[in-house]
Amino acid sequence: MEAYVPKSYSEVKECLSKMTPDSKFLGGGTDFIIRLHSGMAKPGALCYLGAVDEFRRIETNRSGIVIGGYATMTEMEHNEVIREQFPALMDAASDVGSLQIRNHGTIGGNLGNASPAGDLIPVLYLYDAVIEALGPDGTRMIPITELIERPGKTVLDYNEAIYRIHMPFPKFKSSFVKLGTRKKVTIARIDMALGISMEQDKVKSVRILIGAISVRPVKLREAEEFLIGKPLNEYNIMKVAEILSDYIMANTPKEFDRDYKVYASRGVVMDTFLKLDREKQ
Amino acid sequence: MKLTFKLNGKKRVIEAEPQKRLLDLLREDLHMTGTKEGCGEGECGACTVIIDGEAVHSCLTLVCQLEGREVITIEGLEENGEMCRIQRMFVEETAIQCGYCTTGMIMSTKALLMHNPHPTEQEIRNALAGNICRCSGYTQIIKAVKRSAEEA
Repeated sequence: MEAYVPKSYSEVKECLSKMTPDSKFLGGGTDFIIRLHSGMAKPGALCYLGAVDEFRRIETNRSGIVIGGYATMTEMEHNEVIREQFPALMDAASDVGSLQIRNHGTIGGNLGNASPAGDLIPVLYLYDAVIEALGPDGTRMIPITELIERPGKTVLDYNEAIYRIHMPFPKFKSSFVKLGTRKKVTIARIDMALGISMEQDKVKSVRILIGAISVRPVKLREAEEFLIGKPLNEYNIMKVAEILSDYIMANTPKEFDRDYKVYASRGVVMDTFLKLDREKQ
Repeated sequence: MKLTFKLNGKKRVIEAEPQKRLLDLLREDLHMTGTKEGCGEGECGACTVIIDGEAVHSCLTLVCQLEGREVITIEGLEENGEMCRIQRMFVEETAIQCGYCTTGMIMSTKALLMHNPHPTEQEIRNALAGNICRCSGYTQIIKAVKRSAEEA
């Protein structure tokens, strides 16, 4: 098998132009390598860009953060700016698989894999992420909402790499909670990314993204509209949980653990709101 | 492809297929069978090695990702032909039954102590969450890790 492994940014474009439609990008490979080894994936060539420093950096500018596609879950979890300003990303990255997987798995890989259960995806929706894709002819910017075509497929061309992910500094408090079938090292069955800003004691703005229940994260509009102008008390939070339960009941096929998720989602909603206040933990 | 990397402190230059798993490179090409394959899926941790100071699954690492990196395996832990402290504590605390998970447990422990020489029990459990043991019930393993951290 061919492998394109550039060692510096100047070598990247040349590698990209050698790729063909049956070439595959390799991130950390924590999902892809399983398919490769079993023979389910049969690429003609692999392109690994993890040796290029520009793809691994986490940097800030005046408006926000720029995360290289090859930043690992562990690197993001421990990054100071992410911990303080994008804590939902820290929440999500810190619970992907095992420590060994987090040390190796990348944000670019999580995006490129485009799994409906992808841990980072609802959080990137929450933070209005824009993906900077790099092809042989240059870069283009793709809003996260336009990236995923269907499970396992993004809109990227075969020779377009996920170079960097841009997110503006949020003006809201945020959190993320994931529920799986076990405490650790578990695939998300349902997760929630929450962003909220208050005016005095009332909700001024709110964003609720629910992941792992559909192809793409679901924006829980009805719950968002309900919360505006209301205080954040237990009654109102339980109302949000009810809206989510009803949504799942109406939209999730029974065989995708609908009945489990209808009940489990209530706990997820409570936990996500509780997690907003980091000082209390 | 030609690969230049550091293995247990020594520079190595080898020729291997880019899509070969590090686990297979170690066991088949280099005859270093200390690292075990339990699941091949990143679920059990038996194949854990340390790359650039971080614990990773060698079943989920390919040759083409290793250029210029530093790899430590179980074979690299010995100190002048003697077991290192972690290995000795695993023996003393009977933290080894069938032995299949042991390499991975010790490598995850080594990685933990490299970052955090005095972990709490919760930190130990978090660090070893990616390593499964089917024999022991984990109690002896946690004890062995605690003792590895004391006066180390």
